[in-house]
Amino acid sequence: MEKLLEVRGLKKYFALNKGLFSKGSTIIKAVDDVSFDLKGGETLGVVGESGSGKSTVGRSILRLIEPTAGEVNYKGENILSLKGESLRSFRKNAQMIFQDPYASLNPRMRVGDAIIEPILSHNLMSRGDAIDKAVELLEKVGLDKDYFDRFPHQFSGGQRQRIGIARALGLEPEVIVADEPVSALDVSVQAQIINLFKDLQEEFGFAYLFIAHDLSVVKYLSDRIAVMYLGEIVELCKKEELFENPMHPYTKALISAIPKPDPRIKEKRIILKGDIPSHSNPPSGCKFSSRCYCVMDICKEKHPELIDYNGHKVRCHLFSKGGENNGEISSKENC
Amino acid sequence: MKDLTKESFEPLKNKDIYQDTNSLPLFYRQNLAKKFKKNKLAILSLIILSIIIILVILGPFFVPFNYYEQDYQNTNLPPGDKGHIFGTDSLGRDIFSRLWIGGRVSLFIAIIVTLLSMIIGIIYGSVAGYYGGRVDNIMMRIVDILLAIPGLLINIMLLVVLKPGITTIIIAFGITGWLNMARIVRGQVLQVKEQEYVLAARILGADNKRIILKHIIPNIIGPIIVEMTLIIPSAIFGEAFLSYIGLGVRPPMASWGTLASEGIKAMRFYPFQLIIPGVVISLTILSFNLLGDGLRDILDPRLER
Repeated sequence: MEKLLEVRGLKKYFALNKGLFSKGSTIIKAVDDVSFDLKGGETLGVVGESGSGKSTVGRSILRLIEPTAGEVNYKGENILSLKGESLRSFRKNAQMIFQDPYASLNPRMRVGDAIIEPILSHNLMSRGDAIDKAVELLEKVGLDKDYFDRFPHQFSGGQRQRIGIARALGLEPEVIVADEPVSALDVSVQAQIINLFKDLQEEFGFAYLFIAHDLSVVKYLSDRIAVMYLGEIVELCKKEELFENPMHPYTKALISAIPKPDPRIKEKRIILKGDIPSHSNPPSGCKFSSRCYCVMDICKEKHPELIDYNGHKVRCHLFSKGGENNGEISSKENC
Repeated sequence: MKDLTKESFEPLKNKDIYQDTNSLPLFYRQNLAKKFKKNKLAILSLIILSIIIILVILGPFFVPFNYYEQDYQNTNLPPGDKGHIFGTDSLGRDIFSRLWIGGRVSLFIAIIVTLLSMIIGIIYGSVAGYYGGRVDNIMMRIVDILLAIPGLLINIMLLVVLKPGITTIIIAFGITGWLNMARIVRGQVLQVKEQEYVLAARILGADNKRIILKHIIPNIIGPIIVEMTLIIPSAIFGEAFLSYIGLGVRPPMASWGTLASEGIKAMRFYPFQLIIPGVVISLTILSFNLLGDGLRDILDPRLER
């Protein structure tokens, strides 16, 4: 399938002023050199701990945050150079679904108004047609058309998230950035919303950039998965490949942490030491070296590159040339 | 109690439940009137305000006296004496007609000043808060400078330039009245503009004007109304003060402020001369406050039930 979105070397640095009496500022690398492609109709899952830069990537793609450097090409056009009206018309094609359904709907705006607002803002159709369309969308996301005239506070979290989805669908986008859309919902509602995402994708064929910190959610929904750590992609490959043959030690630790529904399976969990390090003072060399259980001397000195290993991209010295395994996948346990 | 029959326990039909919402033409009908009727205090204050406004407009025509004619034979008459409903003042002028004539001045000033402060304050504050950064800095420093100048000083300066009268009072308040409103609006905008629904509106293609008008201002209407109900009494009392220093209305013209300050002089022997305008001023301000409170609740969809 054709490439819809091409992200190349995306960087977002924040300058943190040290204070009144000390000069200079610390640079926080929230997103550091992230590159990936998104093809039409596919779902790319992005997982990582809090603070790994997942949301910043999602927001940079929609220009909600101005990236420091890099390129985001949508159908060959660099959207980072768009301004004013052309940026607005790009956003017609790329929409976002937010994490918190309680914060992402205007409490003073009726549900119907919220859904027709984007359609009218882009002058896609007349008001009457927009109302018909909104009623249709409400039914599509599994809500009653009578809800058109109600206010957001009359709905539960799951219903609100459905409203948010209907609102984004009104523009018939080709890319949807879903920023942890289910993490604020409880598990049974999560399942409904995830299935809704899947059904809508089958019907409309848009591409998802699905950001989450829950690997099991991402596993169900994604075609490919990118694992992020401290602003970098450490592993990027097909879903099956990632779960059957994880390469990066961090990914292995994440996968081992997924709870198994069968109590008889006794699997050794990989416990990582410590917390995610501070962005302002990341470890030298490999950013994961401070917590890695396979750490080698080279990891503390040299920053590893993202290596393409037959379509399975990984950023780890275990697999780099000259490293311990000299470009071969290790047979050592867990490493 | 109503008799309970078997039919009472039949489930309602869909159309009974959704009678307000299930037909397209009704989609945008606001139930504001319905909600307003439930708010008894707001209705009461609206009734009181209407009575005061009717009296202010028509009151002087009910009595055979006018507000400026002096009658030295009948000074300081108590209320009800010789056809003077509220009595007369120290110059024998009819307090009843003076009260409603004065109400015209006071209410006019209060309403114009409030509207002016609201319009300027909301526009100024939301622009400063929404655009932020340098725009915000410059705009708010201007406000700070204006706030730092004592109001009295501005008024005296105006007294030198303009002649006393209602226009001067409105200008005097116009310079300072919107400052607090602008600060409050700016603070609220700063808070609301970071909300996710504003972000969502931006991605969904709404332009700045629409975001401010549809997403930000409706969500800060509460503090705006509260501030508005504070401007009204300060305008009424401020006018009294300006009249006292000679910048406001000139005798024999009356206003509620001048009536009250004349009443204070006669307070010991003829307390009704203070009590009457005092009660009317208090009722008006209280009604505006309660009405504002009610309006805020009615406009908030979260308080529907």
